[in-house]
Amino acid sequence: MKIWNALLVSLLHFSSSAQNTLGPHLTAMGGNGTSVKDVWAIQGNASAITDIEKPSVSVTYIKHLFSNEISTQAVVFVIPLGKNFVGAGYQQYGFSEYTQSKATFAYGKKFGQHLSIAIKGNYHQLKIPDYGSTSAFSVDVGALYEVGRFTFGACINNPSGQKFIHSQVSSAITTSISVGATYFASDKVLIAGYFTKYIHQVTDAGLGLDYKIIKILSLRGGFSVRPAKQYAGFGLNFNKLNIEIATAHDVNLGYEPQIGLGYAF
Amino acid sequence: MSTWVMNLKSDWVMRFSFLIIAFVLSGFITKAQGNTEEANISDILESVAENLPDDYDMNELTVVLTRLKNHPINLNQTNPEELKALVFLSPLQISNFFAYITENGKLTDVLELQSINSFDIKTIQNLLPFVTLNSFGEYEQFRFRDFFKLGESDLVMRFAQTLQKQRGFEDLPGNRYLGSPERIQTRYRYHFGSIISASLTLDKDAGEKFKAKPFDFLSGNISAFKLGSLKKLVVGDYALQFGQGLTLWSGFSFGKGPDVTSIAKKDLGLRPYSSANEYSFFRGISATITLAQHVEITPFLSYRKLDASQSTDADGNDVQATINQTGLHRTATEIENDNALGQRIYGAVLQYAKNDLTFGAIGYRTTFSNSFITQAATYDQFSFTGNELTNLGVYYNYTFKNVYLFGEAGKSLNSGFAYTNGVLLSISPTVSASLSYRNYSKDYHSFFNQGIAEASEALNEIGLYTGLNIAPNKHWSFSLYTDYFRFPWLKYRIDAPSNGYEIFVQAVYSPAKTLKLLWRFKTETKQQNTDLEVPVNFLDNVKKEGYRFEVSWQISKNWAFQNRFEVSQYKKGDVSRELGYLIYQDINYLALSKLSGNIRLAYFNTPSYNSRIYAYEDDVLYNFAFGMYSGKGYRSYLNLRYRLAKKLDVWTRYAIFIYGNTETVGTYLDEIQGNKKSEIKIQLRYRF
Repeated sequence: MKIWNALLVSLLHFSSSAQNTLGPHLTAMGGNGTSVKDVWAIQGNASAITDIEKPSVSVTYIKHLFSNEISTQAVVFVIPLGKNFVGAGYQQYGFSEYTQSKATFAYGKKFGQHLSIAIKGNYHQLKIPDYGSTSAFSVDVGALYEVGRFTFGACINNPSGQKFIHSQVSSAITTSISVGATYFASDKVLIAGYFTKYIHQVTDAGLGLDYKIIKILSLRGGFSVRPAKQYAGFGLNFNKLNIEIATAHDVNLGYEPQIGLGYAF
Repeated sequence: MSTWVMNLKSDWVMRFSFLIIAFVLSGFITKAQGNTEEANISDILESVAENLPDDYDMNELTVVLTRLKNHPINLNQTNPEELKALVFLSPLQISNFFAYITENGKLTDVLELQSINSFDIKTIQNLLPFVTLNSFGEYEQFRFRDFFKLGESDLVMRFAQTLQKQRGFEDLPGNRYLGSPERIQTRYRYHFGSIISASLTLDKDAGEKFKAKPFDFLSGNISAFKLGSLKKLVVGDYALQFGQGLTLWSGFSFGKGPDVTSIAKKDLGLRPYSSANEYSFFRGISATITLAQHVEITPFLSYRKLDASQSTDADGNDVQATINQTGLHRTATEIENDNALGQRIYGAVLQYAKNDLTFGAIGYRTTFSNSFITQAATYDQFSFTGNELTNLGVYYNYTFKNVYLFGEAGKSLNSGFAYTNGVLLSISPTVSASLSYRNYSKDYHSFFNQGIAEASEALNEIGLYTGLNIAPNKHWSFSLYTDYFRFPWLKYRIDAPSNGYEIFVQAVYSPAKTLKLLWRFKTETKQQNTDLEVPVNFLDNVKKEGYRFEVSWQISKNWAFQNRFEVSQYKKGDVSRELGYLIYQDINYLALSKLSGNIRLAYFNTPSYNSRIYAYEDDVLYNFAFGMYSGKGYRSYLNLRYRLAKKLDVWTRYAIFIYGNTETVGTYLDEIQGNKKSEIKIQLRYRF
């Protein structure tokens, strides 16, 4: 069973290696991590954290239903300091025999009313108990531009093409370029789409919707093209606390439910 | 340049130069005036239907819309059923319309429509030609002496023929077409206001004989409406459309398309049948009767004969595996199968409709004169057997503010179950969304099943559809849908359970009334048996993608142009993808008192049938067709309409395919020697 898990994880890893854990809000919107403002944007286009008004923290747990043992956990926090923003995140994916983790530190700055830019450093680690462990360091940059009802975002992950430093691991950290746009159809409806080109791999695209049906409840849905997945979820927004539920559905791998909890101080 | 292209060019140039000159000259000698019933209707239908079979008779839709243009709906005296006939209105819009009227009273100006939730500018533009606020006195009482004076008759006669000789018409020793190559259709319709109607359709397909009965297909009915508690009565051929089409829906229905709200079907209940499609209708008597204030019942009784290929079982009884739905009786075998199977149906639909809630229950029993037997193929082993089937179904729809919920569940007794549920949401003035889930078991049987499905029949399928329409301002509109589906049991050429998905995106930009740009992308991935020679078939992914770019512009009141460029991609398994494309120029000469017409010049190049491209083609009035462009070559057609007299119009159509690199066109009995296939069509309409 463990061999099967290891095989599955490594195969999945290949196809989804560039998928950062985006938290239930952005995941439910089709994995929209390029132009939607959220504390979890730190895992995607970090320049989209520059709208956060209070120090915020959020955690999530993802269950991969194709196996009982595999899960993902992640935590992020952001501290606003006037026009400057700092944040950090940590995510871990795998099971006891195989663990992949990433720690992220980000710095973002608002330039006037319209433009925000952020840079972040990531420390990646891969652990397979019987084989040892390896690590790598990568840098991502992102920008966000707001005009009228639209927000446009773009980011480049690992432009320098960093790899894991280990003689037996040839896996590179995926280099990708994303562009996205968000449209505020009304104060209740937000629609966002993105294109992501994974260098030497496929181009993904996705679209998602967030509908604040009442003040405390938002319904979300979306899809991505490669791999073909559907997403749905909802968020309960209390004064300082939010609880978010989402699931991704892949026709071959089934459901990936996740729950998140956020708090703004 | 190869020889065939040269020949083709000279042939082409000669043939069309005459026609174009005649066409253009005739334009100068006629005066421009407002008219054309067709243009707007074909735009609407094309924007709702994504693709349709190229030989499908869309008469039921085009006739209704054409009539409504001449007899617009009075918005202050209408009912939901009347508005449902307008295909571009979503059920949520219809509900919102009546909610608005209830709250605010009658409309005083059509522009008030803009203040109704979910009515965007495009919808209102589409709606205006079909509606009015003036009461113009439809006759609500029938008096015999008015029968001819006030009644309206519409007689349409159509002749069409492929000009080249097809192999089936040669004196072959074996299978061949026993009839003549012309297609002839005659339709007569009578309307007395909105309370009495009658229709008669006669049809003979190419290759069919003029048999003892003058026409191969004869269909007709007499209908009465609004007779007190007898809301509708049809004697003759009729259609029944209820709920979401899982249990009881005959005739045409929209499926997935550019208008994402079309996923929620708008049932029209009992309707007179006037199409030339020979399979999906009822023959007998049916009525809709009001039982109480909000309750009505539609009982129906039907007996007709269907075409089926029969064999004999061990006891010497006639049995069949399938029904032949084409309605073609050209060869000796097809003629032998003609009317071989008797079908008797009786049942009723009970419906409760009050304000925002509709709830209905369906029950009917179908009996066949001979039994169906299990088919040999493994994938087909759950199909219907025996000679009796009872279908039960329940359906509902409910509107709450900006939410429209709809669904249906159907059960075929002693076999499967099917259900679907969905929601339409108008989430902001510019955004509407739809969501629908379906689950049809592999042994669900209904002979009148038109549920939303990826496959041609709504069974053996589980799917989730999501759609979004966004119209941020009057210039832009976007629509998008995704559909993920799973087939739990095997299918034809799919030897294992399989799955797939479809994504559709469309953007339309109209910077001015006279200019429209459209961009469309569609991708679909399904699974199919590998083409490799292997002991046990495995499934390969089959991916089809299409990109369309289209510009429509009007340079004057009379001249309109449309260009389209479309690319199709096909890839199966690891074999390299194939790429096809189509490019065309349409020229429309509109709005003349006597003459109007249009022409298409197209070039297409697809490596095989797999990457074929469909495109809407203008045709004679009431005919609505999608042409299939497959192979490599040119396509052109010319349509002309001439008003011979006030009540008499004539349409002519000449259409030709000229293929390259081929010595024959078509297959088997339809094969033509040479590289051309052309057709002429003449239609006369007399209104009196």
